[in-house]
Amino acid sequence: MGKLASYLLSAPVFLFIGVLFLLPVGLLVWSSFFHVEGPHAGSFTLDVYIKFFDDPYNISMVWRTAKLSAITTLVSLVLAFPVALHLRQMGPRMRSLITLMLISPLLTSVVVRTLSWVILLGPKGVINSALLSLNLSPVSLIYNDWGVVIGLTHVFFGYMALSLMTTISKIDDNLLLAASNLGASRWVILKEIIIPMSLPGILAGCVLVFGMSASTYATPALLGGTSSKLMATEIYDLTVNYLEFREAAAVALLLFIGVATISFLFNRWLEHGRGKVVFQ
Amino acid sequence: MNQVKSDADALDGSAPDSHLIIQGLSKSYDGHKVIDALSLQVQKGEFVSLLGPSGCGKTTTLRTIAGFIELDEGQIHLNNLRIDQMPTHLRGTTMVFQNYALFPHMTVEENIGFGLRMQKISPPLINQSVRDVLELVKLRDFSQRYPKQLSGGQQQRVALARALVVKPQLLLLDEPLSNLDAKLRKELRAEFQRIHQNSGATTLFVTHDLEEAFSISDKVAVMNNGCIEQYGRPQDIYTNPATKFVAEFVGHTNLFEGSVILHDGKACIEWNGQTLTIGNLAQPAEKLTVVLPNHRLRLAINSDGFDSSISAKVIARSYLGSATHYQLLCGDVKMQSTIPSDGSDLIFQPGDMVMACWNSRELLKISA
Repeated sequence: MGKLASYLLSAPVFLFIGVLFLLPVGLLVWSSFFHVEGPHAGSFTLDVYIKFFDDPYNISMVWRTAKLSAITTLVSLVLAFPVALHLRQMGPRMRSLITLMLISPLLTSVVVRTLSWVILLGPKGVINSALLSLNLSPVSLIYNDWGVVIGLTHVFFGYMALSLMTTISKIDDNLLLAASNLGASRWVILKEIIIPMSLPGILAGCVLVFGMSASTYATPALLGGTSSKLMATEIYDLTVNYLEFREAAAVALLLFIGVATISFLFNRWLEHGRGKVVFQ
Repeated sequence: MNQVKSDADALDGSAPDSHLIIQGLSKSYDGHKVIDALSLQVQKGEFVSLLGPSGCGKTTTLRTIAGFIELDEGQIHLNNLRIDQMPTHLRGTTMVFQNYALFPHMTVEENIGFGLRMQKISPPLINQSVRDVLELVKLRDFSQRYPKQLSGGQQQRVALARALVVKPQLLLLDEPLSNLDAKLRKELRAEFQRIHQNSGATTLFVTHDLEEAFSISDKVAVMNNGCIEQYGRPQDIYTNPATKFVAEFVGHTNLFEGSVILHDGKACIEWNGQTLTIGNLAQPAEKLTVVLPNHRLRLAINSDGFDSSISAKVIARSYLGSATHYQLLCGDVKMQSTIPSDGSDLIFQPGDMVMACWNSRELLKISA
């Protein structure tokens, strides 16, 4: 098959992605750098960016996005690590069963999944009804940062576990035997062999979960409070409620740059830094 | 088998000198006995090989000694200490793995120092010991490299250094050369020998390679089906194989099996329609297997100068440089002959009829 034929065969996909995705996104980003109307229409400007960083509300929104994403990432990591360790020792049948369970939240519609959390965590939800019936004061687990972290962790925990599993299950048993033969306790083996050797999986999982947490919309929109926003919900508001496309594009680009920088640094470490020497 | 028994008997009485004493070791998986009442003694400073085909239980034995596998029955004593119930790191044994098992995220220096660091030895002393052992394995300039940056042979020497640096009572080598190419294997084999002589570490070496075991070891234990078939010096095992299995495993192919009869006043066996003189190896009526080493079987036009011969047909010939290897067919039994290249020998072609000749005093008797 000639080169031309292979181009022709992949043309529909390129057209689809190009026309329906890259073009509109490119136009949006483009529009954030230029005056659209008024006397200076068409000239380059950073006005939306300057306005964005001038407003302390926006800074705190960026900070809150980073903070909640980081907490979600950390909680997922801490929860997923023991699971991945445990899966290492399991047979292939059990392993695939648990893998299926881990990705099951992803197979559920985001609305159903999120509204289920409302039933469970809400002011009149299962947990608070139980607390009230025990004459304990209710806790607010929803419509605040807690709700967002719980909801995000629930979805993204599986990604973290899968990412960890791939590296942890590749660790050679003989390495652990060699370490314990030389006098390493279980804790030392975990600290000095397993964790350092899982670093690519840990970092990949963190980049993945952080990126998705920072850019996901539905979960924070439904489980977060109305008082303070995240970047993703802000982009939605700016676009849909305020029709401020240029501002929305600016926030979206900043979010993209943040997430892309993190994954770029990770790739650099893996392919050029110490990661290459050890893991590639 | 007799020899194994007498070794085991000696244990109960009077052999307190042995450095490693394994007694009645058994291990089963799903009702299948992988190690079957194995007993073995190793003296301090000896280099002993466990030699056998894959699945004979040699690696399981090694891992049981290291404490990676729990034994079902038996006892292991090392340096007058019963170690079979101890955790692996208190046993005084260190293991070198077939796949090296170096920590990929640590430098050569960190890998080697790991065991000492676990023993809470002070950093200056660790550095000194690591330097010394790097000198011993000739990797002084590689201390800052990561395992990925080393060749297979270098990695294996790092693994050896890591195991040696803690001065183990017993060094366990699990087929450490089998991942390397033939040339490197020979080099590293000599290297292991030199390092063993320098360090004096009592060593148990697992291999399926006869040449490797014979060339490097003080003693070899030939294993089959979870048992030691024979334990002794390589030359004793070759010249006096205890069982048919050992004879075949060490490369003997010419085995004559039969009952001893008297023929013209000489002890003989009936084999393959021939009456073969066996010298004074056995008494009449005894059932016997004798072995003729390949290099003792000569090919000639007539049997002058030999006291035994049978006619045979050459079916294959391979020239090996230092020798020529012939495959023969005597009746329907295959035999093999290795003739050293000394310039004077006749060359036979496949299809030639020859006299396969030998002297009966060169026959070896199998004990069991």
